[in-house]
Amino acid sequence: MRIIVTILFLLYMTDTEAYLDPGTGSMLLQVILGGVAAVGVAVKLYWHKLRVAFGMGKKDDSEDDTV
Amino acid sequence: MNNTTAAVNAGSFRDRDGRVYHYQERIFRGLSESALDSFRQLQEKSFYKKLIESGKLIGTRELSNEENPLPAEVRAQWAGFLEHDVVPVISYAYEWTFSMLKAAASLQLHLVERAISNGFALKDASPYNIQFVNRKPVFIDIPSFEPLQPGEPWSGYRQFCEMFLFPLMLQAYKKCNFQPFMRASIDGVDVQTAAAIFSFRDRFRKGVMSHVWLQSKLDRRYGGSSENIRSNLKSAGFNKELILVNVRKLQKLIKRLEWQASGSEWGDYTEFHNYSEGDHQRKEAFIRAAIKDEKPAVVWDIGCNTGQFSLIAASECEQVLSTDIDHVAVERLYLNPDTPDNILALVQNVADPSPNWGWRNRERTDLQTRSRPDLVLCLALIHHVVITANIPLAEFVDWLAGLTNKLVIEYVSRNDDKVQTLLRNKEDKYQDYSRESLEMNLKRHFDIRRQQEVNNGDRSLYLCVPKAALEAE
Repeated sequence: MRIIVTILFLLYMTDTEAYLDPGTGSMLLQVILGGVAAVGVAVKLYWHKLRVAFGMGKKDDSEDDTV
Repeated sequence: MNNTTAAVNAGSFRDRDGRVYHYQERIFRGLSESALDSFRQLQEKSFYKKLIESGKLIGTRELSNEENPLPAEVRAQWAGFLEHDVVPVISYAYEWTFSMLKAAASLQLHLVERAISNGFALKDASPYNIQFVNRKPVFIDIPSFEPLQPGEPWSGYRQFCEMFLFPLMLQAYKKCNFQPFMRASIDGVDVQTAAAIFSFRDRFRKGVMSHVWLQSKLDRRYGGSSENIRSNLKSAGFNKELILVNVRKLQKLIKRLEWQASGSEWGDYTEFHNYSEGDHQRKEAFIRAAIKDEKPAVVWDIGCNTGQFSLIAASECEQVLSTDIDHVAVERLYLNPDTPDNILALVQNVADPSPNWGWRNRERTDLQTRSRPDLVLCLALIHHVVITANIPLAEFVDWLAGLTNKLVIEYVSRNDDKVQTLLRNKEDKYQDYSRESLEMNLKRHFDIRRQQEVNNGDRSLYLCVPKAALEAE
């Protein structure tokens, strides 16, 4: 499970400026480390991105879908 | 500091909701309206009361206006005040041994677990919020506890990694002393530095793949992100169970980190000491008599090694601060179950001591600011300071005189094996290193009350007292 979630995150791997907001990555890591309990949360977080990746949704940056 | 001024603690400034004050040898904390409110909620909780009772949190009580002795202009600045028990000697993570930092880390995680399970969060995860009292870690930053907001991740996780986990991993996995890192960087070992230090092979060690490698990757990926991750997490249903899962895994991880201290030239000192049985007893008797007669409240044992003489001092005085350059020796002193509670053992190099640094160079202070010795034990140390560290003998004695007015110092002559070893392969430029030179320099600052030869004159002990003292008797 953790591997799948990790792969999904790593799909969007590009380097950006860590100094601007050093806490964000750490917050997301807590979801991954949450293991099985966190899968639901991880999926909801990335529902929109998943849909785009699988060609099911429009490429749109709005994050106001609360699933 | 006179009795009428309340001095603000120079390390307490980041938190806008409170400030620590020193006044009349007591410690007070002013709190804002919201911080006071959080504290009052906290105080009612049974988990908090249990932590106070077990000594894991520093003794704390709210003061009414009548009980509050602080000057009016200070009282006017804050909505309310707490008083805390005083910590005898403040110490910092870069002075601690591996096991001390590990004990502090375990305490930190325990507090996070207790807090989160009871609807509270612990804002920070910094070892500077923990102090050692009676050889046990105690948490002192009570306002760190805040009511937990639903859907909030653990905001202290990253700081926990950078200030506790990575330094401990450096020691346990790479046998690299963590103190210099903690002393050079006030925020600890940051995630990218840790990722740079741990190799590909290290990723197979427990905890490195997730907390070091993965965190550094996510850090790079999301560091400049404009997405509001915090609110996204909340609407995705992040809950405190996730934090608890992580905390419990970290507790297991910390518990398993071990440092097999070995290969130190001092750690094995007690097995190889240079004294015959008779000489050792003479030395012990001299020190014991000196402490009994001079009655110091606070003793510093510098170059304490594994603490054999600190133990003697500890039975006769209130507080002993034992320091040594060798991490292994200090670790042994700390771990020894026979070490009494009034010994605080710290890693410290006399020739390169803890500095005044941080914000305005006052945020963290040198040892002399945090503790004043009534008597200093300087045993089997002077040859290392003068010959190995190249400090002129006169300057070293000047420094000792500035530190204390009562001193037990041991001179180690050139005939001694240890000195021969130190001088080997070195050009002997140490004309100032001699018995005559030491006695002359001591007499500039002290009167020599008592003297004792051991090892057939190869080593000499001196009890030095303030100059006027002999006439006063």
